[in-house]
Amino acid sequence: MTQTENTLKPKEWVKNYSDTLYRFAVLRVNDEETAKDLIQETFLAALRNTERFRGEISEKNWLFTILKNKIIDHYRKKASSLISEVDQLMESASEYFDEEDHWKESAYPNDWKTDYKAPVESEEFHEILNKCLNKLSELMRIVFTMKYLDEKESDEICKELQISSSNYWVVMHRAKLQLRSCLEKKWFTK
Amino acid sequence: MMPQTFMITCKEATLYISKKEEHKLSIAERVKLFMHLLICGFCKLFYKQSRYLAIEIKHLHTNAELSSTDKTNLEQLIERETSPK
Repeated sequence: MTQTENTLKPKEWVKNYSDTLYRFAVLRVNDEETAKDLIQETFLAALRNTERFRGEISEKNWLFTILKNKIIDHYRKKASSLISEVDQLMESASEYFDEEDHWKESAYPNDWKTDYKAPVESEEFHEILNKCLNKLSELMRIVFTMKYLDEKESDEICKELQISSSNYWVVMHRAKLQLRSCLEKKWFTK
Repeated sequence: MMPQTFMITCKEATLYISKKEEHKLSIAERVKLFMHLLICGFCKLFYKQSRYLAIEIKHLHTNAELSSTDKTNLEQLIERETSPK
């Protein structure tokens, strides 16, 4: 029997999984305290639902599943309190486009003179990327992270956040405009 | 002259680019985007760069760690929860 492989050993959770769970959370919620709370909630939820663990997946994957659900709950709460900002986003893309909705000269994209098919591997670049992500409004960062870090489809994201697809596209559009422009200023044309 | 109906603005084109990734453009929209990208170098750059961002994001990582105090707190929490009441 595989009983021994897939049993829960809560006393070893902190040693074995806490840092990995924490890194996963902190990349996604961008706040250390929130990430710590989520880990705590994950362990508590796991301990209170041990009877639901049937050993089909590993203990580690089971804890990750719980954490992912906690993150989505957190995102959903944030999204519902932030959704009103979407109207303003729709109105004012004026940093990027003129009255005729063509690029403003000050916002013209520059060629990054890089191989667009090969990602930059350097730590410094990732630091800048992280900084630029953290400059997005929280709703933009959430939508962008769900889409590109967690590789979800927009339909799923809309369902999880309980937002309309038209709101989703407005937020995504603005997130990309802002992120592109930030990276260009801070890295590619520095 | 291109018929007016085939013309889209840069604001629209940059939105279409995100939708295209998920195959959420109608045929008419795909044609409009294609024509726009033929004549607009800026949107073409935006297109390449947003694809590049999508690849880059997947490599995002952190080396953050919990402090030993945080870990002790978590261990105590688990201890409390698992000890017989």
